[in-house]
Order: sequence, then structure tokens, then C-alpha cells
Amino acid sequence: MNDIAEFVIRRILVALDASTHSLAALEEAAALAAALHAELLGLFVEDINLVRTAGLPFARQVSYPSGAEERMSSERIDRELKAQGELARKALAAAAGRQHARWSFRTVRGQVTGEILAAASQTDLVLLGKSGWSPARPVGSTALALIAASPGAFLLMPQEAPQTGPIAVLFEGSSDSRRTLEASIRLAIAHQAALLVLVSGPTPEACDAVRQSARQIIGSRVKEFRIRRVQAAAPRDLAQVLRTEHSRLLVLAGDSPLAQEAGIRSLLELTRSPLLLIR
Amino acid sequence: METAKPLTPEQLCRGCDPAQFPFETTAELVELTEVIGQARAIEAVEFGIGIARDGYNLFCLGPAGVGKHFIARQFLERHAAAQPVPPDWCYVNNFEQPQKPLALQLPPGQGAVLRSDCEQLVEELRTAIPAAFESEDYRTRKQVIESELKERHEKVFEEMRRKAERKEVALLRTPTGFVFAPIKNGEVLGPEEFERLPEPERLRLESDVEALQKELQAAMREAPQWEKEGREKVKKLNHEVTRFAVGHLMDALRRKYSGLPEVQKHFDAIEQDVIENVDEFLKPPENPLAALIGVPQRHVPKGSPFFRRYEANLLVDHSKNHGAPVVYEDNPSFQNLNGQVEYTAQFGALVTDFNLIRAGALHRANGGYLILEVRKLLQQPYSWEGLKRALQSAEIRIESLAEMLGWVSTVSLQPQRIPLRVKVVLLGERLLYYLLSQYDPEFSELFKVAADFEDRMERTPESSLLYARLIGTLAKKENLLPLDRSAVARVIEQSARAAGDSQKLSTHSRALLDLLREADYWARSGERSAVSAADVTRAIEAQIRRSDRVRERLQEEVVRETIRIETEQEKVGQVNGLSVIQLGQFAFGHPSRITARVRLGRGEVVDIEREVELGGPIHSKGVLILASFLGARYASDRPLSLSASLVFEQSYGGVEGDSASSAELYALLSALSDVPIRQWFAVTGSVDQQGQVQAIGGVNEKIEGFFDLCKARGLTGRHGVLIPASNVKHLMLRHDVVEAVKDGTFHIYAVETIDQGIEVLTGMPAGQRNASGRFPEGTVNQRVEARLSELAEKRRLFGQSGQSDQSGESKTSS
Repeated sequence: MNDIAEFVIRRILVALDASTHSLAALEEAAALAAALHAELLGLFVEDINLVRTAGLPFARQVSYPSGAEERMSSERIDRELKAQGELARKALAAAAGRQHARWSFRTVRGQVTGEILAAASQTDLVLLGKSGWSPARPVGSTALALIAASPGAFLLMPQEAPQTGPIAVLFEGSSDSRRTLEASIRLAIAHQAALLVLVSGPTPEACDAVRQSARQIIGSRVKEFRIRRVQAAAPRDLAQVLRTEHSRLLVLAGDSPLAQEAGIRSLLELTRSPLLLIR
Repeated sequence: METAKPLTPEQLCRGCDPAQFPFETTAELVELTEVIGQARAIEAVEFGIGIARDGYNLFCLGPAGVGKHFIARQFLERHAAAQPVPPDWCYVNNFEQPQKPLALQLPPGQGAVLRSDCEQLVEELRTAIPAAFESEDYRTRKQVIESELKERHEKVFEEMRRKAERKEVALLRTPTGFVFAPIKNGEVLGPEEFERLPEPERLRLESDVEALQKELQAAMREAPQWEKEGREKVKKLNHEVTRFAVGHLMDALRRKYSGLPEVQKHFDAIEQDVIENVDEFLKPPENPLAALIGVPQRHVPKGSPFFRRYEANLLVDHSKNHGAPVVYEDNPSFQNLNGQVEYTAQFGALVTDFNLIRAGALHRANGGYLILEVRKLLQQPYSWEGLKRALQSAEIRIESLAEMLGWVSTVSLQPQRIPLRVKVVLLGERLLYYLLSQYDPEFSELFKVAADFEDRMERTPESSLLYARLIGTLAKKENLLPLDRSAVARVIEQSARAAGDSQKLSTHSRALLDLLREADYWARSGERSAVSAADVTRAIEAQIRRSDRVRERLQEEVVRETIRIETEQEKVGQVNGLSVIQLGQFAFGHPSRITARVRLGRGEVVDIEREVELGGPIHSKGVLILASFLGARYASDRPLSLSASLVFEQSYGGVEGDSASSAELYALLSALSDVPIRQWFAVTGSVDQQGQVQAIGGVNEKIEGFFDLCKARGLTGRHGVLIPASNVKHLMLRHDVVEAVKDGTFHIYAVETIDQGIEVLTGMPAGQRNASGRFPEGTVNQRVEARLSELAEKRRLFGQSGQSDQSGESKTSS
């Protein structure tokens, strides 16, 4: 059980780009930070690629969603990035204020993924909006790239996250999975939410063993919890369960097959629940 | 000429003999089911109720308290019970024009069913629709549509990115849009790196970027169209799912109301509206706090106020009625008659909808009868106009007064008009009926049947027995003690007295009932098992006692001689007249001292009361008749050369009526003849130009007024009253007066002419003209004529001397 106690969240990194997705993520991050008494670190990366492009003599911007063509200049992009950074800072301050969370904020200029990765190494949990910069792609390329590159814990937030409902956790009996369950218990206590343990195993017997093990770990710490069997490998089944249970959050262990890029992509496409990946 | 003789005690009060009744108490009598004494009115009511034509509404006219309401209601209820129950009415939302709610007509009792069906429909829709939209099937189909759209977007951007990558260009997102940036080995080129590229390469990149931009722009221009198509598809899907979810519910309702095409049409409209507004059914319930802020709402809707639009406002419910309705509206204000649209305050604004339409009396009485009191109706602003308009147009239009008068011009509800078929029964006094007939030309068009209620009925032995049964019936209905036959007789006597005629009985049932209740009170206080004549008498005396404070004070002042009324001596030019004072329901007689003075003049009789505007026109008319009588009788061949003045001494209020004109004439004759008048008499009666004494009103009260005064001073056996002979049939005097006459201490003379009267008053013969046309010596008439001749002669001499007299005759100078 010692390794379980190691998962402590003291610093939560929120990568902000002022898009609606990352602003929605902010509120949940602030609530989480307040519940866990952790510090919220806001990071706004001014994309260096944009600055460089703006310097090109022929650089033109196609406005979204009007499609109008506009001249791009270094000064203009500077101003826009500053304004965007300021918006992000204000949003963070407001959300943290509402939730009474400790917070700090900084702006850096550089490669987006690189800067976030660098900052992530200093924190216990990275929180990302579910969608990246592409308006059409449901899962941001930035987010997926980060998950692949960083060994730490991630929380992926959709645009409209539910504020109530049980905290669901997928428990498969592995060591990572036990840590995940332990973290979920603490979250359930902090949020005063019910706990929904989704167990899976190759056979019914294995499943029962896993169920037994989950019961032991939870003990009497959580007032309200339920254990339910699922087919772990099938994201569609899992999404269905989350929807019917109106779950507010799904916690996944890093070693779960679902925690791979394809699994995450389909889960995020199928469900509105935020996804907490613990590694 | 016959000399006037005193009336016998039997002539003074036509008593009712208890022995004529074949019962001990009224408990033995069969209850009276018919109305007595109102044959004419009842015929009219029956005709008015029976005739089913426009304009044949009823007006029951008669004094208050004769039982108009009771009789009209009794007949209406009897008639209405055999008539069909009229339809129910509901107001429902008009989905095309919400400000014009629709009226639905339903068979009696079905209105409440429709209302509960609509409530239940909303409940069911609120479960069925979200369930349909929660279904896996719907989610999947919606997901497919959304995915299609996403994929379409994604495909375009992905293609753009790939195409760009092939040309060593990256697609980047800026804070406000997109930009294409040239790359080299995965790195975006800055301006310096770009400058270092060979020129052909630079030109190629520039042109590639431009082409890509154009392409992206073209793609983005199409995006709104795709989104619109996507939304349309979702909308179509939603409609389809809703139609499926609500279809069976609506079908069931349409089947239930299969005979009512209007109701079915309304359900079609509901279905269409639900489909168009399905989003409302998918919203989470609103914060209940919102409803708590502001003024508490009368109608608190379940859930969102949006769903009120599917409810049915049951305006008229006949589910518990049998037969046609008979409605009495006690407060016939414009709104209470025609119905109204109420408003509720919501966050400081007044709002309304079809659910706040309230029925009026016309709605409730539609298909039946409406009873209204015309005085109340006329007192309410615009109620009369509103009622007439509804009857004329045969439909009920609900609108506010302010709107009708143009005081407000805000948009409000205009509920669909409801056809009206009602018979209105107005109850009111005769004066109001005649005023309306005179001044409102539409009145006689709309109220063609008048039921004129009698306030008196014939008094015969048969009618007395019927009256006894009426008394018994009322006593039973009111849970009063039964009346013994003496009490019945006493009540009948009092009824004749109330009618002011010994040959009539009053039909004023309210006064009768009051008397019975009060007699019952006294009988019960005496712990008797039946009401006796003594109890009735006590009740009558108590009624008088309660209201005769003013009479008592007046008499006290007369006895104390503050007001001078002489009842002992003889005086020239002075006579006791009698007047009646009416205070509320109580009337009493009061003597007045009338004096006359004469002197030389031009033939005018001055009515001092009129000169100071204290006398009314009828009084003045009486005085002018006197002058004419004097001139014609005593000075037909010479000018009437007197100047007389007449006055009611110590009268400070107005004097009206001609009942004192005979008294005034006696005073004048006394003044002219210088024969004193016996002050122990009082006189009443009007007089015509021939000297005939004519009937007056309130004869009983007048006699009793003088009797009371004489009694207070002590009856000497000389006191008496002169009344017109034509008033004898009206005599229903108090028992103590009759007793006094019986004892010879008080006398009542019925006179037909002034001559008869003056003889009684002076003790001197009046005198008839003899063969030579002269009045005999030693008669009043002779002395009057002689005095008038003397005055005429004086006047002639006075005129010859060329001097003006003292009467103020103007002298014309040339």
C-alpha cells in the first residue's frame, strides 16, 4: 500500500490558450485544487511559430469563421497574443477566486508542446482542454502529443463538464490501478461525491477477485460507493455506462489499455465526462 | 244640506273578527304554495319565462319588499329544472394568435374532463418527450448527423494540412484565425531564414501560400451552409422523434373527443406546437425561486410557465347542474357581468394569458336565467350599457373598461366571443322602470315584459283566510311560534293599516315578516307556546316606540306651549290643520296652527309660505283655488276686494300638498265673517272650486296626531277632527282612539262640503241662498258676503278719491 500513498497532488498545471475548452477546464481545475489543497499553476504559451510567421512579408491570416483575408504583422500578433494571455490570466484569477484556490500564472514564448512538457515535469497533474486548436478535431493534437510525451498525470476536460454525479474509476487490479483507485477515493471524499468502481477482468472469477480487492481498499472511507462490471477493452460500453450513471469524472490508470492514444481518442469522442489519467 | 254627524266607532276601524277563522293556531293551516294578491304580476312572469323570443326579457316592478325576488326566483327555478343543461365553455390557447384565445364549447360536464385531460397531457408529454430524446436510438442518429458535420470539417482541414505539408507549408492557428507558414525540416521559417532561400524557392512558397489561403477561404465560406444543413437535419430528426413520442397520446385524445371537431382541431394545434417547441420539454426544470420573487401568484403553474399554453381554462362548468342555470348577481359590475381578464405581477410587470380569463354572470347564466337588481345595475358604471350590448349582439365579449373607453391602448387579450342565449330578469322600483322607458329607447326593445307587482290586495273574508295561511307558512318557514287566531286578526288589521285602507291588505311581505319575527320574540320572552294578539300589538308598539323620538319631542313642545296649538278656546281666523311627517319608514300626524288675516285689497290671497319659498306648487294651487271659490261664491257680481294672507304658524320647514286647503278656507271664512272657530277641532281635507271637500292621504296618522295631543292635555269630550267623507273607507284607527270615540270623549266628523265643516267648527249655520238669492241673516255665508260687499264698496270709494291704497297698488303717472 505504500506505493499508493505516493500519489499526492500539490501542483496542478493548467495550460491555457483562452479557447472555450481551456476556460471550461479552468473551473474544474480550480475546484480540484481547492479540494486537494493544491496550487494552481497557469501557463500561457505564446506560440513562437506564429511570431515567426508574422514576420514574413507575405503572411496573411484567414479569419475564423468569416474566412476574410487579413494582413499579418509582428506587432499585431504580439498584441493579440498579449491580449489572449491577459484574458487567460483573468479567467484563472476569477476561477481560483471563486473556488478559493491558491494560484500563480506565467506567460512564456516558445514551442507550445515543449513549454508545456517542461512545465509538466515540475507538477503532479496537467490539466488540458479536450480540444486543441483545430475547430474540427475533437481531440487536440497538442493534448495527445503531450499525453504521449509526458510521463505524469493528466486531466482532460470537455467543453461542458457535468458538475454533479459519481466519480467513476476503472479498476483492473494492477498496481497502477490500485493507485488510481486510491486517488479516486480521495477525490470522492474531497468532492463529497459518490464513488463508482468499474471492475473488469478476463473471467467472472477474476472479476470477483478484483471486486473483492476494490472493496478492501475502499473499506469504510467512502460513504456511498458501488461496484459495477464492465468490458474494459470496449470504449463504447464504458461510455454507455458513464452516460447512464451521469458520471462527473472517469479516472483511468496509465497502464490500462484504454489509456493508449487510440483508447483515449475514442473515449473522449464518446463521452462528455472529463478523463483523469494517473500514471 | 245635511248636517255632519260624528262617525260611529265601527266606522273608525274595520276590525278583523277572530271568530271568522276556523282554526285555533296557524299550525293547523295547510301551507300556502301559491302567491297571493299578485295575479297580474304572476301572469306576466309566466308569460315572460315561457316565451322564447329575443327581447322578451322581464322587468319585475314594484316597491321593495313585496317579494319580487322570491317570486321571480321561485318561478324561474321551477321552469329551469325542466330545461336542458347548457354547454360548458373553456378558453384555450390560440397558437396562431396568442392574444386571441379560442372558446371551446363542450357538452355539460365535459369541460372539467378536458381541463384534466390537458393537464395530464402536459405531464405525459414532459415524461414521454425527454424519454424519447434519451433513447439510444435518438442519440445514435443525432451522433451520426453531428459526426458527419465534424468529419466534413475535419476532412477539409486535414486535406488542407496535408496539401500544405506536401508543399512544405504548415497550417497554424492564430488567436483570431488561421495562417499558412512555410516550414523547413519541421520548423517554421522566420523572416531571416526565408530571406536566405533562393528566390525561385521564395516565389514558389509565396504563390503556394496564396493558393492555399484562397482554397481555405473557399472552404470556410461553405462551412456555414454545412452547419445549417446539419441543424436542419437535427431539427427534422427532433420533429420525427417528437411526432413519434406524442402521436399516440394525441391520437387517444382525438378519439376521445371524436364528436367535437373544434376540440380535435385544438389537439392538432397542440401537437404541432409541441413539435415546434420540443426544446422546452428538454430543458431542466426552472429554479423555483424565480416564482417566489414578487407578488405571490394565484395560479402557480407546475414547472415552467411555458406549459400553461397547453392547459384549458374552464370558464363555465355545468358538471353539477341539473336543468338550466338561474343566476342572481348581487354585485352587477361591468366585470362581474361580462367577465374579465386578470393580470399577475411578475417582476414588476403585469402579465396575462388565456388562463386568467374569468367568467362573468352572463357566462354562468348562459342558456338559462339571470336575475339582477336594476338599481344596483344602474349604479355600476357602464354595467347597463354592457348588458344591453350583450343582449343586442347575443354574444359575450370580454374586454376591460379601460380598454373600452380608450384609457389604455396596450395590447391585451381579445378572447373569442361566446354566443349568448339568456333571459334577464330585472327587479326594481316602478320609478326606475318608467324612467328607463322614458329615457332609454333601447329599453323597451330589450325588456318587453313588465311584471307589475301590487302593493295592496282586496280585503275580503276569503282573502283574509288566505292571508292567515300566508302568515302560517311564513311562520313555519322562519321557525316562528304559530299564531293564534286573535294574533292573525291583529296582523290582518295592521296589514290594512299599512295599506292605508280598511278594505285592502298590504302585500309587503318584508314588513309582514318583520312583524311576525318581532311578535315571536315577545311571545317567546313571555314563554308562550303561540303568538297572541297582545304580542302582535306589543311588537307594533315597540316598532313605533323605536322610531317616534321626533314625534314625542314635537308633542312635548306643543304641550309645553313652545309651539302654540290651541285646543280649548274659540278664535277668529285661526284653525288647526293637520300634516303628516314621514321619517324613514315611520309616519306621524302633527297639528299646525293656520291663521288668516283680511283687509281691503285687490282680490289676492297671499300664501305666505309660497312667498318665502317654503310652500310647494300643490300647496299654492290649493290656495289659488280658495281665492277662486271666494270670488265665485260671494263676489260674482263685484270685484273681490280683499287682500288675505294665509300662514302656517311656527312652520319652519317646507309645506307641500293641498290637504290643508279646507282648513285654510275655514280660517279665511272665519276671518271674513268674524265668527270664531272652535279650537278643540282639527281639520284635514282639500277643497275644490265648488267647495267640495276631497280625499287626502295619511288620514289615520293625522287623526291620531291630534288625538295624542288632546289626550296629553286631557280629553274634555269636545275634541274632534273633521275629515273628508271620502276618506272614511281608509280609517283603520288605533284602538285607543276608537275607545275614546266609544266613550264620547273624542269625535270624528266626515264632511262633504265646506258648509258642513264650517257649521261644525263655528256652531253657526252656514246658510243656503234663498229664493231671492240671498243668504239668510245669522249665517256664516251671509256675514262673509256682507263683509266682501263692504270691502268692495270701500274699494270703489277709495278708487274714486284717486288715492292709491296701502296694498302697494302702483300709480301710473303720465
